[in-house]
Amino acid sequence: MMLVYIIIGVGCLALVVAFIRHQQKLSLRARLMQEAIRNRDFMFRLSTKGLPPGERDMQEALNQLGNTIRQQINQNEVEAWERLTRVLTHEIMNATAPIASISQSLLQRNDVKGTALEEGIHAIYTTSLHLNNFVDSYRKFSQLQKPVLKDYLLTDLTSPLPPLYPTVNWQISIAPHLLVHADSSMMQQILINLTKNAIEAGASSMGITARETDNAVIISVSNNGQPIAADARCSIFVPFFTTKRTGNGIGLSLCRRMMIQQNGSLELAERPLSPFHTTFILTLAKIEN
Amino acid sequence: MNKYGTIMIVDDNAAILTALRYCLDTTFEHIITLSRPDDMLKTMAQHDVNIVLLDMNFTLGVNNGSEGILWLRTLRKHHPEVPVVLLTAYADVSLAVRGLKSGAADFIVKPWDNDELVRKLKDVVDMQSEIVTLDEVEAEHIRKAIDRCHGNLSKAADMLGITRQTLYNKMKKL
Repeated sequence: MMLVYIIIGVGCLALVVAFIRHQQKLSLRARLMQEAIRNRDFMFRLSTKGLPPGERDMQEALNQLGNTIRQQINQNEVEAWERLTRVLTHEIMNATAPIASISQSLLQRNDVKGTALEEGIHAIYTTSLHLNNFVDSYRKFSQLQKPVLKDYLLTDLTSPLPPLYPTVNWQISIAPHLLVHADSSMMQQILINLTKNAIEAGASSMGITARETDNAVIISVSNNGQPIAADARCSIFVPFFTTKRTGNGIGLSLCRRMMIQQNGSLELAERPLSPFHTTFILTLAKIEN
Repeated sequence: MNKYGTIMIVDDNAAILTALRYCLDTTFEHIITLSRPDDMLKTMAQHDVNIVLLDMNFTLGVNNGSEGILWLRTLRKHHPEVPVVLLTAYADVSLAVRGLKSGAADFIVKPWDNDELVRKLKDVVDMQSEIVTLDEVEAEHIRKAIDRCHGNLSKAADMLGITRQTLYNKMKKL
């Protein structure tokens, strides 16, 4: 009789110990996920293998959370920049109006034409025009376009690139069946922009690969041009930022905006895919066949 | 080259007033500049203004232009014969359209090209002088009616739908 009680007692003790240890494991999972998000590692995931259904759902929700937070942050950043840009362009255009007009008027005067003043005033005039064009082209590009999202084979979206840029050595390796949910003209603009940037950085070859996850398609667009300087890395998506003399800096910030409008994202990879020097990561929603 | 008459420019930005003076100096005989719309009507009472150039952005920080529309309407009400051209901020298409609907003759966006600005203002003044006054239209019509009736005033009055006495009074004014 005593034996039965001992066995039951030990059994209960074992259950309690197992329960406590299981709870500790769950606490560890929770802490790990929190730490990851605090360290801005939004892609951090823990495996859901072997978890009972309730816990698996919890872990999946946590895994998703990081992604959702990242998308929200990017969206807020884009919207904040848009609001600022609107006010800035308004002020800039108001201010350049008298500069352009007065310098233009001065250039017509007989006491300016042919004198030492003409060249200087002409420089003022052309610079103010350049500023106008810069602001204008940014405004035209940043007009909000509503994306038209459809299902596309990823290969169809990338195939126009090699004939458009035949001087580049293209290494495109995408599974032929891979479907994405995107706006084709936005993807065109984005891919062309990345290519143009790469060529301007001296790239001679570019690579595009894609892999699937549970609900997303991760597209890596790489090039072997001049790598992006460490101190420029956090600025490349900022509107108006450019390292090119004739650049206007609208490209990458708009590309990111367009990816976000397609419920995706655009990031610069921490480490480029070898043998390339720079890799951009585009994420799009996957379609289930 | 014949110069156009008098233009009144209303803008609270001194640099823009300077720019417009430089630009329109050879086009208009007389350029009046105001930095506050409050003085507009008084100025128009003292001068024979042929065209008004009105900036739509007055209050600092308030970009919606409602104040400009109010001033535009005031001008149109008190001086309907003087065309008003609006100077609008960059990309403010909706305000420009509101202005046109409220009676503006045309609008110019900042920043502008000098030659285009001059051309637009000239076109507005030219179009305005093509529109004759109602009095002239009436006078022309009365003359035609009397011609038709071979000088028979009673018949002419009948045709015009007025009494003979009224026709007689109008003819005295011709």
